[in-house]
Amino acid sequence: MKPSLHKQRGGVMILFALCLPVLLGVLGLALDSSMAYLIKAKLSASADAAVLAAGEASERGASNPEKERNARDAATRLFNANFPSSFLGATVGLDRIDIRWLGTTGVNITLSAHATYATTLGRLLGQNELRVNVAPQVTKNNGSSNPVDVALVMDTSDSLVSPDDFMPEVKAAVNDYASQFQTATDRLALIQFGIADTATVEVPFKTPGFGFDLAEVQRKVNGFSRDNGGTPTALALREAKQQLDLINSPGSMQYVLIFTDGAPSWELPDTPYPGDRKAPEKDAADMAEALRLAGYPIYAVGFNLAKRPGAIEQLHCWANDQFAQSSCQRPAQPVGQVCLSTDAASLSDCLQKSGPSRGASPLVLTE
Amino acid sequence: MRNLLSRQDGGALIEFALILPLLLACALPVFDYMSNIAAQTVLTNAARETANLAKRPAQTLTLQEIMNQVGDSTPPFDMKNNGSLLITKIVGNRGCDARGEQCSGSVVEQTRWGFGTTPVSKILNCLSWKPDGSGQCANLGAHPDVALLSNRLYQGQIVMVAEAQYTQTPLVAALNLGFMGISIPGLDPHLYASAFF
Repeated sequence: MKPSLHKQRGGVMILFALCLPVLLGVLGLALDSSMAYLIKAKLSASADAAVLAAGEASERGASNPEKERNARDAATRLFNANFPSSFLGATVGLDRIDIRWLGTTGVNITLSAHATYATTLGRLLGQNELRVNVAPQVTKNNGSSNPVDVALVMDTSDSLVSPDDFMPEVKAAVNDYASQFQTATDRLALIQFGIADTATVEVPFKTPGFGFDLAEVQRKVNGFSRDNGGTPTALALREAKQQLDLINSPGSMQYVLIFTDGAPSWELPDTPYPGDRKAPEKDAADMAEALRLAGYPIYAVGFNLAKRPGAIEQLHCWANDQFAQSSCQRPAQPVGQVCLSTDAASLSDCLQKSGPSRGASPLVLTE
Repeated sequence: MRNLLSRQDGGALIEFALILPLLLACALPVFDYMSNIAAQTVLTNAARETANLAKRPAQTLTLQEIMNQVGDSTPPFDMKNNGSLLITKIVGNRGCDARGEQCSGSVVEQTRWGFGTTPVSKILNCLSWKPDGSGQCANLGAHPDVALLSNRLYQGQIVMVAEAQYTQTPLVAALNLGFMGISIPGLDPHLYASAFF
């Protein structure tokens, strides 16, 4: 009995020691593969963000090679911003970005990326690294962003400057807004008003031809200075209509975007309501109606209007939206939209949201 | 005979008793570690979906609705009590070159989820929130450069950043078994994931 007893002593320890590497290996592989899943989640997020950015940036530029370069740049930058180089010790690579043009405005972009993760305990079972791949793509169908003609009407009256100076924020927001259009196909005209009886066409529409000079628009916007006052809205709307009427090969959508921080205060020089205290308001409403009758919807962005009685109602009236008072609603005419902003931060957002939708789903992301 | 047998049984038991702390020392941190990775994965995907939805131009959902939906889709992790979601909007508008490239970004808007813990952002921490329940930041303070994006945006480019956070207390704190030199560092209970879209 004695020898057999000696043999069995320490049996469990030995068995445990023998099994330990296998146990650790299986355990390690479980840990390593869940790490790989985490890395794949991060990689997918980075690749999605990058390919969407590529889709957006592919609208920027005058020629396809330039657009492709912009798309690749934007994708690479956003990919790197999302995937830190040291994320969990994984090495990551953006392998390729394939850009395929569909017709004149459509595009299909596929991005391939991978990450490799050096395993830890998984090595005990001979698995030294795990590799994950992703290849998301975005598609924008041809025609989903048809060219537009926008008459941008800007109020620069002195209420923008005093008591608080909002001019820098307004300029920045308008510059941002202008830069979202396609300089090759969209047209943009810039009309400024803010002096008693003057509305100036700072940048006319390019016609014949398509596109606009973004740098010139931004230079003009940056050059705006405080005007002496007065809000001849009707005159500015009339200039906008003349500009839109001059275009001989219209884009698929034509509209007016008016930015103002006050109610109309000057009537037309040839007003049909001479001597009427409400002439400025009536003229503006008439001009807005003339624009809508010509088929140009009006989008209005109001800034700091809370203190100006009646101003907000007038904006709704011009836009002919669902909040317009029943006395000025015209069901048969085009419907625009009003966005009111109370501070400089939401102004940019307001501008971006204004204007007709350029297609239900410009970029469709698929894995 | 009986005497011998019982002594043998006890031997195995003692050996097992010796190994048990080692087994537990392996198993508990592994459990912690796995649930940590699981939570990280869920957070990463939550941040990704939040940012992705917030970025879409034809928004059909408000930012709050997006965060509600994402926050509800993270079981078993209870985002409403132990987590937070935050959306920060950045516009490329500073220091651009002549081509309108290589701009740095400014934070123009920040929105926190109506539920969850107070978010701690790695982008910008809002100084005061609007009291109207919209979750929007009322005072962004000075607009610092967003380091990860500096010189990486084009003029007017909008980047939505979603930050997801979750607090998960590990079962085992930092562990020192006191023998064989085995010690295990404690896991950080504050989990964080972000996505830039």
